[in-house]
Amino acid sequence: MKTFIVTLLLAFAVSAQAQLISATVGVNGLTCSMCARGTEETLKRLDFIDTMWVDLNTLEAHITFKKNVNTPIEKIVQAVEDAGFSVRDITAIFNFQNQKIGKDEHVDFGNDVLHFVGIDNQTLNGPVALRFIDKPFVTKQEFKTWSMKTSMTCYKNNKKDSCCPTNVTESKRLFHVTLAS
Amino acid sequence: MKIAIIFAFAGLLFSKQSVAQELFINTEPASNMPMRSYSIRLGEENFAKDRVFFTRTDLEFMYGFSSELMVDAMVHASNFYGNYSFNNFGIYAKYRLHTNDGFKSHFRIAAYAQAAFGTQRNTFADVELAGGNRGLETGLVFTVLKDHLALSSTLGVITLVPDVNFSQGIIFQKVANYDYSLSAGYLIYPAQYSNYKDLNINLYAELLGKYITYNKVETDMPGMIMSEHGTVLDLAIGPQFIINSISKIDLAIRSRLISGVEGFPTPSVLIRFEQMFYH
Repeated sequence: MKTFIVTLLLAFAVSAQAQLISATVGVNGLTCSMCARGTEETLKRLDFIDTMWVDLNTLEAHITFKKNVNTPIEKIVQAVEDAGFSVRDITAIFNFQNQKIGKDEHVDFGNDVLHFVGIDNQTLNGPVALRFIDKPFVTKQEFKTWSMKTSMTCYKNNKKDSCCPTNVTESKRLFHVTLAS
Repeated sequence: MKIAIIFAFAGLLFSKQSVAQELFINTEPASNMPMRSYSIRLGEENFAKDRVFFTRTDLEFMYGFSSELMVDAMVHASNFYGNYSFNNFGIYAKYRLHTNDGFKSHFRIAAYAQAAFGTQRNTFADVELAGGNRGLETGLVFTVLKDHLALSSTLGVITLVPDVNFSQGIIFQKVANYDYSLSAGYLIYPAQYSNYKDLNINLYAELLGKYITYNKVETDMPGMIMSEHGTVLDLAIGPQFIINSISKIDLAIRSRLISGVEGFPTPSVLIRFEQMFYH
C-alpha cells in the first residue's frame, strides 16, 4: 500500500521546462507614492528582475524577468514583505514547452513547486498566464471556491502537508496556481 | 479659531477626493521603512519667549533592520539651556507586532521604546525626551489606513527619568508620565498619481498630549512635598511636501490647547528635511 502511495505521489511530481516571462503583482497595505517607491526599490534588489514599474493607482508591480535564470516566485513575495507590505495577488506568464498538467499536478519550477488546482488534463505550450490562488492572494470567497476544487489539505491549510508528493521537499516553496481566465 | 481649523481639517479627511497619508510629522506610524533602507532627517524646532528666539536642531539616522524592526538614532542641540550646544542623544526602536493589510488599507500595531541620554534639566514640570531630559519611554502605536483616512494613535509611558527638573528653588520629582497622541493625515495633491516625480502635498493635524504626575519639592523646605498632576495638550498642524517620492519636507505649527502644567513654550514651528536611501 505504501509503495502504491509513493508511486502515486511520484506520478504527480513533474519537472517543468518553463520560463517565467512576466508577472503582475498586486500590493496591499499602502497608498502613497513614497511607500510604492520603497516597494519598487526593494523588488529591484532581486537580480533576476529585468524591468519593472509600479502603477501608483492600482498599486500593481509589472515585472519582466531575465531569460535563462532562476526566477523564484517566493523571493518576490518576500521582497514585498521586506518593504513592509503584502502581496494581494499574482498573475504570471510562463513560457511552457509541452508541459502536461492536470488536476492536482505538482510541477517543479526551480525552487518553487506549482500545484495546479481546478483544471483538466492538458498540455501547455507557449506563453500561458497562471494565477496564484494561495489563501493570501485571493478573497475569502474565492478561497472557499478553490477549496472545493481540491481534496488536498495543503491548499486548505496553506502549507506543505502530507498530501504533497515527494518533490515538495523541505527547502521548496509550494504555490497553488490555476489558469488565468 | 482652533475649533474651526479642526472642523475644516475633519471635512477634508472625510471628503472623497483622494487617499490618505501616514507619514506623520510629529509622530511615528505603526508601519516601518523597508528592510535595509535608511533615511537621514535634519529638523529644527523654533519658538520665541520674552523676545528671545530659541531653536533646537535634531539630526536623525533611521534604518530598517527588517520589515518589522526599525531603529532611529538621534542627536539634539539647542540654545534652550543657554548657549547653543549639544543637549542629548537618543535611540528609538519600533517593532511591528500586528499587520492586517487590504487594498489601500491596513491596520497595524507596533511597540516602541525610546531612550534619551543627556544632562539637561527643564525649568518646568513637563518631561521632554527629544532634546531635553534623559529617560525611557515605551508604548504602542495603532495606525488605521482606509481609503481616504489615515489615523494613528500613540500611547506611551515615560519612565526612568533620573534627573528631576528644577526652577528657582522648586524641584519637580517625576512620578509617572503618560504620552499620547492622535494624528490624522490627508493627501491634497495630486488627485491622481502619474509617476514618482509628482509632488505630493499632505496635510496633517496631530493632537499631542502628556499627562504628568510629579512631586513638587521646595528646596528651602525639604520636608514640604506636594503631589501634583496635569495635562499638556498641543495641536500641531502642517503641510508635508514629498519630492520624487524619496525626499520629504515637513512644516508644522504647534499651539497649546490645554496647559495643565508648564511645558515647552508654544507656539513653535517645526521645519524638517528627510532623505530616503535604498541600497
